[in-house]
Amino acid sequence: MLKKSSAVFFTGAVVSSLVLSACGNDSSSEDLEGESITVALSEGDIGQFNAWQARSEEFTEETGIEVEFTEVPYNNLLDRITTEGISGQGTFDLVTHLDVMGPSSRQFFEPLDDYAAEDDYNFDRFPESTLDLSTYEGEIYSLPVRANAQLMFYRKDVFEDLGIDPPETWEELEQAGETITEETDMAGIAPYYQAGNNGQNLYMWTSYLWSNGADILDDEMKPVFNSEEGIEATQRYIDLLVEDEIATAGSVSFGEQEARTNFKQSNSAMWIGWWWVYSDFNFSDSSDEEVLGNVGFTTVPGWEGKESVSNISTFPLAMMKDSENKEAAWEFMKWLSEPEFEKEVVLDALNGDSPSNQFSTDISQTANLNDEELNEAGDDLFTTGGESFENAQTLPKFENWPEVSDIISNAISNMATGESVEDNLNQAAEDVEQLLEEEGYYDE
Amino acid sequence: MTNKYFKYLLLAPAFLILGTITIYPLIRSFWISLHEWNLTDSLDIGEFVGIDNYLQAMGDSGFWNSVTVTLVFTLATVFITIASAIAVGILLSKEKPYISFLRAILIIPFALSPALVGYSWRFMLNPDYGLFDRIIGFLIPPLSGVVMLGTPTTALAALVSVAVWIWLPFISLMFISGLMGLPNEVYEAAKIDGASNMQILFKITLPMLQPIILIASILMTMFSLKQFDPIVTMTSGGPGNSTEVLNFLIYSTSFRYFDMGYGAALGYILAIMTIGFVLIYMRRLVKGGEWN
Repeated sequence: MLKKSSAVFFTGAVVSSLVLSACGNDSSSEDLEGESITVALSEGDIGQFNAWQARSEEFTEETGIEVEFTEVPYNNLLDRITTEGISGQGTFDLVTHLDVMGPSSRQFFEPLDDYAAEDDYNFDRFPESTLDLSTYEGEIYSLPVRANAQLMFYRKDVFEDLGIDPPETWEELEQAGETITEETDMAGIAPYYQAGNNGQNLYMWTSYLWSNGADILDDEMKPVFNSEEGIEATQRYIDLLVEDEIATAGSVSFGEQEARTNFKQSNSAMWIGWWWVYSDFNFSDSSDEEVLGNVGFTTVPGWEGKESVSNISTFPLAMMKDSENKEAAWEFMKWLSEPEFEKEVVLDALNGDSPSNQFSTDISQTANLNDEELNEAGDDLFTTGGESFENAQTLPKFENWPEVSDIISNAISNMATGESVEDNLNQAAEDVEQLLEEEGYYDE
Repeated sequence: MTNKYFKYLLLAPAFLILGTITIYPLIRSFWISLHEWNLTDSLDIGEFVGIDNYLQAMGDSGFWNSVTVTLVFTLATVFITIASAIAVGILLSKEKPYISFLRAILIIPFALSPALVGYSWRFMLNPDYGLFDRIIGFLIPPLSGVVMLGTPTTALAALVSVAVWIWLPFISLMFISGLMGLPNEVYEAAKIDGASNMQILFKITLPMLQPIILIASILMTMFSLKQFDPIVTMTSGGPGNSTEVLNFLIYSTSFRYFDMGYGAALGYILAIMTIGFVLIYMRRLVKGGEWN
């Protein structure tokens, strides 16, 4: 009797598992109903993240998976990911992070290739340059759903009044800066030279450096930023403040956010940085009335006679290795990275169909960068950004980069106080070489 | 069970808690400081390297820079805080109703989170819209064009001012209670003998306050050596590394570069420095017999 009932149960189980597996993915997401995932975002009232939070209800309706969001201050993000990773508790299922945090954090992340293969998910939706920042040893660890190209922003009204064109070269930028400083009570430009903040003062520097044909490290990981071209480029970047005095005096102590505030308060007429601030400048409540709607953009200037090279950075979404809800987390990643979802968020913002705190112009996928409807609504912002994605370089990607970045970042900060560019670059190069030697980068 | 063992049984929970949260981490972090361990390579502790991490610190120019900055910051903060706190104490140790109100509101800066204080001061020193930047420019015209957090000297001076601002209320309260406890007879005798106010201050008040000055110095030295939050939020060690105190270097090494072995060694060096200072003060305290 007992044997017979076991056989019936076993047969039933086999049959039902066959039926379930035949149903494919739909049934697996049904299994996930009632699960809950936690997504860690960077704090700072970022429109794109606010839109994710607001629209995640649609995802919950579709799948039955609850999504909770936790905001972590940007400056503590790396510490928090590391602490959570070491504890192995799986408090967060998904985390957003800055690309340069990837090399040290990826040991806590789940590679996504198997999930993608199972679901025929195509990573090619992202530009190669941004996807590369999520790839380590051939495996993809995160989705670059938030990607930033560097652009130059300027005050259209001020430029028009003074009869100057948006600069295409550094020389034109310096001339424009001089005219603005002389003719108005604004500073020409608001750079940000403060050390720290995960190397924020390096981004504008690299645009100078790369466009003059110099680089940070060579193929053998030796520092080369103190080459003749490197010194020339750095001197020009520092001279905005020290020699030409077209940069606002406070820039020596500014982080990116303070420089942005300076521009938003109409204290300076040019700003170089990530394109997501386009919406912040033109539509945010915190912008001065004169600034609202008056901010134009163009690609980052280049060296005379050489090609302009800008920088790109991503803020990708990764799955924690210790997550206990990996399937549900992957479902959310898929939903969030649908090209239509991204397009809808931005289009609604540009057409005024979403609340102002969800205003976002963040486009990360190739199809949307070239989308006619989007470009029409956004004054070709996305085509310009797309060009920058193609001509951009990225910061080096290796485990000791945070240390190298801090050495250079400190040197830049020193130079901005008026110290010698050449001496500081040489000293920084020496320190970087010593560090990388100790870490075994030059071992045969 | 005899009475002899019963007391140990009662103490056991306290020892257990202390052992878990203080003694074990202390021993463990010392053990880590003797190893090469980079968290980005592995979650497991690396190879044993003896005192290599300590030797590395001796040859690290960044470390010596931090030691210098820490000492300058500490000495300036301790001296200014103690001197100002004595002055505040003398002003506020009278028995008047409005003075007890002042004493109550004095504690407010101390009650604020140091990180928040750092952010607020960074805001107030902003060259574009900072309140204090304008006030400083108005009162000291040569400083009107200077970006306070933009040059090494003014940035360090700003940090010292903020640390003094945070700790002054607490130390002042110590002096107020000390001053109010001093015997009146001594002052009356001095006045009958015709002593001037300055003589009373230097010959009577300060010598009698010596035990409190010593205790306050010990506390302030420890507080200053471990000051961290306002430095992170105000200057992040900059410009360059001109305000990078040892505590900030330990933080960067351990939690930005994840070099746990070297970070732990630096932590121990800071602990040794702190203990060294405290021992010097304590010897003075015990030797002088000022408690009596």
